[in-house]
Amino acid sequence: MSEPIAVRATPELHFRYAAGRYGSLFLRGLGEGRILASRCARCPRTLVPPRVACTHCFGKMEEIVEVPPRGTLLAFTLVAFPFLDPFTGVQRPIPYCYGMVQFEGTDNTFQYFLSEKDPSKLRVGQRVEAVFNEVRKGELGDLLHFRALE
Amino acid sequence: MKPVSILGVAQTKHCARRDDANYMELAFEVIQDLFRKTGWSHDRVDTIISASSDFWDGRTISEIAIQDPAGAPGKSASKVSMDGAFALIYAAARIASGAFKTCLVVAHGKASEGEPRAIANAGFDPLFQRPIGIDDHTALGLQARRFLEKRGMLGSVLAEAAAQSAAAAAKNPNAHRRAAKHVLAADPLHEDEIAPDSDGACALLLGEGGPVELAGFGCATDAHQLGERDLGDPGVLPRASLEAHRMAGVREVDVAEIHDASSAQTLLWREGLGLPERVALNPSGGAMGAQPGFATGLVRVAEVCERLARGEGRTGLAHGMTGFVGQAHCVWILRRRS
Repeated sequence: MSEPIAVRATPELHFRYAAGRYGSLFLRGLGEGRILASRCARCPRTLVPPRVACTHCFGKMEEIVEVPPRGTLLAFTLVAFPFLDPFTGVQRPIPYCYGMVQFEGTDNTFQYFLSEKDPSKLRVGQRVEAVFNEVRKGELGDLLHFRALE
Repeated sequence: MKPVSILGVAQTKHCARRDDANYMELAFEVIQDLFRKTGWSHDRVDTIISASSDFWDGRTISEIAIQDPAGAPGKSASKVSMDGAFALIYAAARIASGAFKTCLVVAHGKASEGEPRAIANAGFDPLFQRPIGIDDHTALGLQARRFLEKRGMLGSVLAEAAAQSAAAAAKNPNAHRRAAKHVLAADPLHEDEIAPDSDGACALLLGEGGPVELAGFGCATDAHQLGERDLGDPGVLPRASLEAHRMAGVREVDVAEIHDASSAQTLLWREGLGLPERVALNPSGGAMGAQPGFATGLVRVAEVCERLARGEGRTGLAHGMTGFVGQAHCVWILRRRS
C-alpha cells in the first residue's frame, strides 16, 4: 500500500467576546490603574474580577469596590510550553511565571503574570503588587505583571 | 417512571447583539426571571442540565460561563452539546427516575460573538466538504431547492411562508426579527426566508406538580452527510414525531412550535410532523423570528408551555433540531394537567 494521506489545515475562527457590564467595569478600571471587585451582600464575599452572580451563594453581586493593587502570592508555576496569545496571535516569550494572587480585602485569587522568571526566587505567602503599563487602553494587558514587594 | 412537569419557563428578549451582557449575565437574567416567576430559589434546585456549544461560544466547556448564575457549584450538573430540546431529555430522565426532585434547564446562544457561517463550515467534513465553502445557509439553499423540485412548487411559497412567520413574530415581544430584506442569500432562499442569528437564552424548571406535563418525546438522528439524505424529504422527523405521540398517547395537538431554520423548513417540518392545517404552527414566529443557537428548541418548549398554561389548548408539540438541515430531530408532546 502506498503512504496514507493526511491533509494539513489551518482553519481560522474569529470571536468577539462581550465583556458584559461587570467585565467592562473591570477593564475600564484597569485603564485607570485600579483593581475593581464585586461584593456580595449575602455571603459576604469580595471577588476579582467582578461578576454578576456570586460564585459561592449565587446571589446578585450589587456592589463594585476598589481594592488595593497588592496582595499575597498563594501559588505559582512556570510556563515553558510555547503558545499563541489568543488576543494577539503572537507567541509569548517563554519561560515565564504566573501566579495566584489574593488581593487585600478579597476572598478569591486572581491569576496573572509575575515579573520574576525564576520560580526558585518565589515563595508562597510572598507580598506582591500590581504593576500597570504607563500607556493604558482599558484592556487586560494594561496590567503588566505582579512584582515582589519584599 | 415518575411524571415530569414544567414548573415554570423564562426566556430573554432575543436580538442580534447583546454586548451589554456576557454569557454569565445573560444566564443570570433568564434564571433570575425564572425564579421570580416561580417563586423558586437556588437552594430548592437539585440538579442542573444545560445546553450550549463550545464551538459557538469560542471556549471549551461552554457551561462554565453559566454555572454561577445556575448555582451549579456543589450540585450534580451536566451539559448537552446539542439543542436544548435534546438536553430536556437528559433533564426529564433525572426527574422521571426519581433520582432528583427538581431540575433547572438552561440553554444559551450568542451568535454575535463568533462567525456563524465559518463555525458552520467547520462542522462539515474537513477533507471533502469544507473546501467547497459549504455552511448552514448554503445547505439550507440545497434543501429548499430539493423541496421545491420534489413538490413542483415555485419559490413564491417560500416567500409566503416567511411572510406568515414575520407577521407572527411581529406580535411576539421576545422575537428578534420581525422583517428582513427579500434579497437573494442562498439560492433559492432570500435573506427573509432564512432564520436570523440571535443572542438569547431560555430556562425551564422541571419537577412534580406543575401546570403542564412533559407527556412524551421522540428523537432520531439521520446521516450527517448531506449526500446520504434526500434533503427534500423530512428525513427522520416523522419517526421522532410518531414516537413522541405514541409515548404521550396523543393523536393530535392544539398548538405546535417548531425550529424552522428556513421558510422551506417551516413547510417541510409541518409535513414531516403530520400537522393538519387547523393546528396553530409557530404562533410566536418560530425560529424565523429568533434563533438563539442551542436555546432555539428550548424556546419552542417554553412557548408551547406558556400557551397551554394560559388555556390556549390542552396539548402541544415542541420541536428542536441539531446538525445541518435537520440531521437530528427531537419532538416533545406537552399536556396541560386538568
